[in-house]
Formats: sequence, structure tokens, C-alpha cells
Amino acid sequence: MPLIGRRTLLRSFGAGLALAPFRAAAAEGPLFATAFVAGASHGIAILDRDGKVLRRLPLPGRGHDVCQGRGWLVAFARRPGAFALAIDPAGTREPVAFSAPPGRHFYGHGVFTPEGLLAATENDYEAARGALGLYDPSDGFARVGEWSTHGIGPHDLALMPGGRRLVVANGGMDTHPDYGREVLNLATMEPSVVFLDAADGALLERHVLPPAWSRQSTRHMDLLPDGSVFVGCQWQGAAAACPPLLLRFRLGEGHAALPLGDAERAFAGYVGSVAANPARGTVALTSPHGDVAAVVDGASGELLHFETQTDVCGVAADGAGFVRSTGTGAFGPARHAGLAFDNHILPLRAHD
Amino acid sequence: MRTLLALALCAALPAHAQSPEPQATRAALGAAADTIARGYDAFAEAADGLVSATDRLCGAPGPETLAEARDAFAGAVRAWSRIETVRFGPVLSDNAAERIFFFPDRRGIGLRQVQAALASADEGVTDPATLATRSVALQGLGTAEYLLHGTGAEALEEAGNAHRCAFAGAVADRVAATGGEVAEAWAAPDGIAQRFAAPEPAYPDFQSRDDSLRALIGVFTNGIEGVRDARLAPYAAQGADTAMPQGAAWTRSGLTADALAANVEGLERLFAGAEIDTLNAEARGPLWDEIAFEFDNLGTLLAALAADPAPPADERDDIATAASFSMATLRATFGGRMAPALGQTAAFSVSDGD
Repeated sequence: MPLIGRRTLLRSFGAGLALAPFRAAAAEGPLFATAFVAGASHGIAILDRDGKVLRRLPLPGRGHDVCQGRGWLVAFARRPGAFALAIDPAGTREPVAFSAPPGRHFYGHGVFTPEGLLAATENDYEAARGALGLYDPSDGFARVGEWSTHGIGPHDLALMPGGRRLVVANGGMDTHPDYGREVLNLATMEPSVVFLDAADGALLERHVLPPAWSRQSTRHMDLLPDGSVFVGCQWQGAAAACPPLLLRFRLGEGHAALPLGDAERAFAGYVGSVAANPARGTVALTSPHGDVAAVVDGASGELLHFETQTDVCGVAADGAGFVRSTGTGAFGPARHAGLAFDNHILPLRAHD
Repeated sequence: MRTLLALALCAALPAHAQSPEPQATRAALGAAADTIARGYDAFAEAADGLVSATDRLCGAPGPETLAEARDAFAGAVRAWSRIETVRFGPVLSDNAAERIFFFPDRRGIGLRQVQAALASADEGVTDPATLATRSVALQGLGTAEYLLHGTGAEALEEAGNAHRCAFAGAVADRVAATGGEVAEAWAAPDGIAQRFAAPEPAYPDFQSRDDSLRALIGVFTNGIEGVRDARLAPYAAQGADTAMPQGAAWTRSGLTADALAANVEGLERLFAGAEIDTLNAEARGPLWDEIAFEFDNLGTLLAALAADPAPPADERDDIATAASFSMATLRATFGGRMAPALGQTAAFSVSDGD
């Protein structure tokens, strides 16, 4: 895969890179960031809870998730893309474009460590191993190191409450850009969830799914303040044998399945996004393959809410509930013709 | 709360206003299931032919019996290529697809294993029952290709190569057994064909006709993408002077282009066999004609590749580029137009999720 030069990458983001503060344009209430596709163009958008688009910023290709930390918003390319763009919501710093190194691509997710480094899930595709690439925002997001994820196909990750540990979902799927998105190891998948020391990347715990669930790719996650990690999975096997799609992990405890009862089948073996709401202790999950969204109680696993929505995927906590977005242009109550929102929504923190 | 949720589930699930009439959908899905079942039957039959041919080869090594075994192998490859784009149902169980053909094998896992088994004269690989317990990469058509066409295969024309020949025979047995299991699963009266054609809420895999239509459309959108990315692209990416394209399928047997053509032929058969045109006016009109035209166009391009195993590089590149464009058009047409014509979502997250 050719490495895009930094200058080329920056040019592709377009002129006028300085981002004016967008808070002034917003109504009171939380703001959200999400990747979008508009025809042949791609970007990230900042929206308020009513779905009003406050800013749109171009990306050179399809984005996936956005993360926030150290005063930056960082948008990642969707796999197997290798670009990332950091923007300053305050508008005081120029955007920074950076890339995964040769032989790597991003999986589309990242998180800031307590030390202030950006950790991004990456595919070391020649070696078929997952890595967390470490990028230093104080040095133009220079890549300053990497940690192993102790598995193949790391996708989503999160910083555990207290900030001392990271949790990473190794989806288990080996891919290589030479073969597009074709999975190379369906017969030998070993999905896992790992807990790492956020200071040095040391492996603390590795929870591999049972052999009968080897095709259950662990993908997206969110946390509750008690340390419960909720992981939404994507099943790569025969539909008739699909295991529970929502799993809960806790440090020191391994995994527990949270079956969704009759609603489980409606997810069509695919959870596209997961969001936890600390205010209520609830967890939302979506499936654009099944056109469904659900909310469960994080403690009991009880299904609290279920509804259909065409091509729903993005979901984030909003007050006591959740805001959702779709590939057909819906964001909360708003409808945006010609916009397709990508898989995830980031609730923006006021100070970070 | 549970009761309310159950009511919400019942009311909410099959909610596509533009879905075709149930009767027509059931007939079309039944026709699609028949087409798929016939494809697996044909493959199982071709695999049985490979078993017989390798038996004859091992019983009477010689140029003729080796040629017959290679012909039978080519028949099995073509039959598999016609059905391998179906990525749902029993072929996903117990690694059946990977047991039949482990590909892409970018790290050469299968090659290393077969070479090691030959070098050590591993007796285990000559017994189908033992082979079934070994790596899936060792049990399928990729291994058969190496044994019949790879380095040292000419020795099969002469007596004294019993191990290699018995290895090939065991692989053929395994391929036939796995293919037979999948074919039987599709032929079972109360099996997947029934659940796919007449879905019921109680079924674990197909609860509604939308589930079945989604799976059917997925064969085309995902199948075309997979053929383009994992079969055509590696073939087209080879250097101009490279006689054996690295990373492409079936390079040792020279069947790369044949198999590509069979991939598309299988999809075209399913498109025609599923009688999608009976579902509604949109599916029956110009859209159906456009897809049929594009399949025809693509078939012509790939037939040209298959007809000449060693075309000039620039000619091959031109054809491959045109074929890739044609595949992109077909995928976009199925995902963006045929899917909504059948009441399915056309938005990008559905067909292109992560």
C-alpha cells in the first residue's frame, strides 16, 4: 500500500484548514462528531443534539471513528485506510494530518492515554498481528512507538475508568490490502478482549472466546463507570449458529453473554456500534444489517427498548438516553438528504 | 416490559413497505434455493469424479490417467468456482468452505504443509479419516492442485510414487465428503432450502423473507466484491513479465481465468435461476436487462481471458481493467438499485459495514 506523503495528505484536506470555534453556532446542549459520506466526498461533521450540522470538514477518504483528547479531535480512516486528521476544536492550532507507517493501516479507532499519547488500533498486515500505534500530539502526532494487542484484527478500544488500563477488542480477522476486505483466517480466528497497562502496554489479562465462538468477531465497545466493558460482536459463521452478540467483560472475571432474547435474531449477526450511558447504567447497540436498535440494562442485561430504524448504526449517550444516526442521513430527529453518517458518534467533552 | 417488547418486535420486524408480494417472493426464493442446491450437487458430483480419477491414477500411473485426473480436477475447480460465492448456510459450518479451498493463502500455509507432508512421507495424509483431523489448509483443492500440478507432479506418470498419489486420493475423498455434506444439507427437505425459501419467525437463521432476500442480494454484492478483490485483482496485479502470478488462485494448474469465468457464471446462473424478474415491475424492467447485459459483458471479457492462458500483458491488463469496472458496476447496481427494488435498504452501512 503506498504511503501518502504528509504534504499530499494535508493538501487533500483542502484549503482553509483552520477550524473556527463551532460552539457559537450551536444551541445549548451537547455536541457530537461523526464521519460521513456525501456522494463521492467524505468528511467529519460536528452536530448538536437536534442533528443540526454545525461544521463539515473534508477527509481524503472514508472515515470511521473520531476520538478526543489533549484538546484535539482525531478522525481515522476506515480500514484499510492509513490516514488520520487531528483538528483543534478551539481553532487555535492548525490541523495535523498523519498516517500509519508503511505496512500498517488503521482500523478506525483510537484513544488518548493518560500520558497524553494517542493509541490507535493498527494492522501489521505482513506479520498478521495487531498493534497499538502510539502518536505524540505534542510533536505533530509523530509515531513514537507501539504496543502489541496480543491478537489479530484489533478494532475498538477504550480507556478504563481510573485511566490506568486500556481494553482492546481483537476481532480476530486477518486481512491484507492485497485482497481487499477478504478475511484470510476464518478457519483459525481467535477473537479476544485484552486489558493492557495504559502506562506501558503490558498485558494484564487476555480473554479468548470459547472455540465454538471462534467466528464471533469482537468489534465495538463502551464502558460503564463500574468497569463493565460491553462488546458488540459480528458473527462470521452460519446464521443458525450465531452466539449472543453482546458480551460483558470485567477485569478479573472474563466474559458474560447478555442474550437479547427474541431481539437477538433481528440483529442479523451484526452489531455495528455500542454506547453506554453512565447516567442510567444502560447500553445501546445497533445493527445496520438488521435495521434495529436496542437498549439493555448494563447490570441485569434486561432488554429495555427495541425498535427498527433503516440503516441505523451510529449511537451515543445523550442525557438519559441515546442519539442515533443512519446511513440514510438521519441524526437524532433531523434528516439530511444526501448525507450518509458512518458507523460511530463521538459525544464531545467540553474540556479535553 | 417483556410483553410490550414482544409486541414491539412482532410489529416492527418485517417493515419494508416496498417488499414484493409474499407469494412471488416465496417462489423466487424457492427458485434461488434450487439453483444453489444444484450448484452444490454439481460440485459434489465433480468431486466424486476427482475421487474416481485419482483412484484410477494410483491404480495405473501413466500420462493418460494423470491427464484424466487433471481434467477431473479442473472440473471440480470450475464447479466449486460456480458456487463458492454463496457465503451463507452450511458452507460456513465446520469450516466447510476452507476445507474445500483454503484461499487466499497469502502466507503459504497450505503450501508449506503439503511440502512438509511430502518430504516426510507422512502416512497420515494418505488416510482420509486422519486427514480430516489435520489443518483445513491441507485438505482441499489447493493441496490437490499442488499434488497434481506442482513440483514433482510429473512423477505421478510413473509407478513408485504411491505416497503422493495416495495423498491426492485422500484429499479428493475429503473434498468430496465435505462437498457432499453441504449438498445434502441443501437437499434436505426440512433443511436450509426450506428455511430460506419459506422463512418463519421460529427459524434460527431466516425469520422473514427480508432476511432471505438480504442473504440473496448479499451473494451478489459480497460475491462480486470478493471475486474482484481476491481473484481478479491479484491476477491483474502481476508484473508484465510474470508467467505465474503470485497471489492469484489456481496458478499451478493454469485455471485462474477459467475459475474467474466460472465465478461470474455461477452468479449469473443464480441471478437468472432466482427468477428475480418475477418479483415486481422494477426488478423485471430495464434494471433486470441492465444486469443481464453487464453479466453478459463480463462473461465475454472473462471468456477471452480464459481462452488464452498467456495473453500479452497489455491485452490482459486491458481486459482485467474492463472486467474490474464491470464488476464494480454490477455490485453498485445490485446494492444500489436491485436491493431497493426488492424492498431492501440500499444505504452504505448495510452493504459496506465495519
